[in-house]
Amino acid sequence: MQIFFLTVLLAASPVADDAALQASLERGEQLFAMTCATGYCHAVGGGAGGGGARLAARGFTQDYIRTVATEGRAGTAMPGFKDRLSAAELDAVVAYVATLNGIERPDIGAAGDAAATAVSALSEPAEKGRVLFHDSLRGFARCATCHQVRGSGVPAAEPITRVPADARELHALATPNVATVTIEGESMPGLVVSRGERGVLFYDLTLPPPVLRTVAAGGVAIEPGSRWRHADVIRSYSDAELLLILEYLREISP
Amino acid sequence: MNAWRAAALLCVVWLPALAAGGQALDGATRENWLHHGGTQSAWRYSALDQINAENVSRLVPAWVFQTGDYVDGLQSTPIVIDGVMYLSTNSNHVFALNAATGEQLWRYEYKGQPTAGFWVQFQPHNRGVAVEAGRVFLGTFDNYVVALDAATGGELWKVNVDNTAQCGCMIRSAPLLADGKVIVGVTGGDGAFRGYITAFDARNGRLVWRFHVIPGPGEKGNETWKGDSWKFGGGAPWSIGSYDPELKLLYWGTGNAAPDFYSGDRVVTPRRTDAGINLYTASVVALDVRTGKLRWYHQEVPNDVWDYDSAYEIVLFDAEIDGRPRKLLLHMNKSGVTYVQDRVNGKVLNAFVVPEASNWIGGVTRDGKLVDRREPAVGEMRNFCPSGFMGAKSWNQMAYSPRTRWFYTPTLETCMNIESMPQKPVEGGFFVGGTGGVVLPPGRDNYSHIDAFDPLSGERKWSYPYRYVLLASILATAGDLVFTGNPEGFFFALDARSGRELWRFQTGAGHRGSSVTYAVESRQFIATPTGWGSIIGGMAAGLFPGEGEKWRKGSAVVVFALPEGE
Repeated sequence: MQIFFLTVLLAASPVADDAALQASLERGEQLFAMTCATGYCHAVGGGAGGGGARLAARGFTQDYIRTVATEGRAGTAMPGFKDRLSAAELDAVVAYVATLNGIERPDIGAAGDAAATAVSALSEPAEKGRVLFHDSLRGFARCATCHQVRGSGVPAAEPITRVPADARELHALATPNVATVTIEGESMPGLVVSRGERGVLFYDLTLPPPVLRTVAAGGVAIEPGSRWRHADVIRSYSDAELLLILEYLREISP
Repeated sequence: MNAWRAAALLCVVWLPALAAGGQALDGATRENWLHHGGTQSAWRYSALDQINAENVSRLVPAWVFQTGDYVDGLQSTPIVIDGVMYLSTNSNHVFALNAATGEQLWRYEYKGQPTAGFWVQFQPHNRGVAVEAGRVFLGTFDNYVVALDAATGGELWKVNVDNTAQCGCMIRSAPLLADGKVIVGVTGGDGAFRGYITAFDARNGRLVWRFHVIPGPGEKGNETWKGDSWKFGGGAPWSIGSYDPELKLLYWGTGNAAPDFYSGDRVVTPRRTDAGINLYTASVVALDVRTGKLRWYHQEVPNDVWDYDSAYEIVLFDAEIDGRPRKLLLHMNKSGVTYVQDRVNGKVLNAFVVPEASNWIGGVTRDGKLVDRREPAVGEMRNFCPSGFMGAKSWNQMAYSPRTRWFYTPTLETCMNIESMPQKPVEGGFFVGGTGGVVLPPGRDNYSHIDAFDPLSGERKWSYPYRYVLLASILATAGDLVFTGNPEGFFFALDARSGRELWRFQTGAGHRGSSVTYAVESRQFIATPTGWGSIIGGMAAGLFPGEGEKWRKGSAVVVFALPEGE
């Protein structure tokens, strides 16, 4: 635990300015790589090539970069990104492209605030937990298959409001909302989302990933309780990994 | 119903089966256009011949349907079953239309979460739905597979395939229905992503299997990847496969390895070309439809460094070779190298180069070995033809006619300047490993053509040249006609035996989709999507300054037939 506090303290210290700039530029570089340096358009690092213009060492001012990135350039394939990137993302990209044009400490605007938040947001274990939560190598055996956190993942389960204390509690988690749903003689664990005149909407939890199914109200029977167990769907994680995930959830819980 | 027409239709239903010898695979459609490729064999060929080389010049528009979804053109292949047309658009709207009149029966608008931020990757495109047993299946821009009630358009089930913002992937292709499963690939081939094909139970959406294009640690083939590069090695199977119900084998083309243009961090040294490199990218894979297990593979481009996917359609057909009936498949790589294989065991029986502008290899041997490869380099821009981005053809599909036993393909003549650059992967981010731009080859006055090829000899039978680039699928019919459209808005018919143009009609917008044919109450219709768009479409337009900007967007289906009573 001491390590976590140290990280948070560091981020809150005067070093934060530099850290925020660094984080913003890293985010900008990442966004640039994903959104701009596609090979279809601009080149990696703003170099020559691609279908679009070279962006490095052109002597662009930050204002010019901001205008073109925000509004696009009429008569070219360059679109405006004001509706495609958030203000903070746009700030980060503009700041990064500014550094490609010799501006060493560009204005990072709102990106600075976002980056500062990001820097102080997660401890090292929690960051590991975040990666585990969304781990694509686990396929459908990852937490994000049923849980959405910070806008990422499938919101089959209710938002996580109480974080279990340890791995044992996570395994033994009570899931009173999971019922037994019976359709045409077949019973399955189901998480009912809504019941109305148009039908019953529920997640079929027979096996991951959950399937959101709609059935006519008359054709379905719902009994409370189920044989479904949370422990069965988190088997790909070791207890040590679950602790990291819990740390992540604790740090981001309001 | 017109009695003459009914008699004519009945005749054509039986003719192809006889012509093909009775037992040979019949991949023709008839009244219905059941699957994306017509049938699961992907011939894009219909046995209907009411409209034929004699009367095609009298074709008139029967109806037009405007979708109202003008996001980025219309790339769809309509599905037609029992007089109902099912059509999807780029924003994932689905329509059921009366296929004889165009009257809308229902409309469904998918309400997904568009992923902000990543512009090119997540531009929504959709190439069609799949329909079977009263259900309509749609793959969405945020990676869901949705099943709708074919009678009402109401949702039956939906399931998430992957987290779009994280994987940088989405579903643009139509799903394939095979063995009671709805099967989808994903985009993401130019991103830091590990591609896969997923099969769900068509009745309830439950996962049946997933095939990872790139094997994980401990699995055979993983040793063809350097270090951890397998985790983000690409291979996205972003288009649609084919299916042989007798062999229970699914055939699917996989995407290029990532990063596209730089392989220094993914190839094990010394290179071993005999066993394949970066398996199973840029390959055709044959999977057991029941389990998703790999039966055989053929890697077309070991260590791809040009963005030469193998993701395109796979045509299944039967033919006699050396007096023996063989079960075959035909597949064009994005490079234009085209393979004929035994589809039972994957053995390559013929390979040849389709485009004229081809300088990345010296050639290909008959058994499929690439000869004299020229590769991109770090710190130097080099020119390669065909272009990796656009390909020797785009995803738009070829057609195969059992009457001529030829295939008909749009062929592009473009090149690309490529410079390799090392790049670190960021999950879901672009992972191209270099840069490049599409350019036109010098000394030509046409940059695409429709070609008729004999797959067994590799001989080009005829070629219909076109000044710009053709980015619409081909349709072939038993009327000995070949249909397609061009970016200037003309939909046209060629004589399947000579390539002579017989008819054209200006639909008002460029062609980027796949035309189909079907019959309702014995009247044959030809339907074409119209509406220019897509990233590649924009890139193509940019190659012709002052001309390309005239290619019109839009989103409509235009349907033709012979005049009533004729």
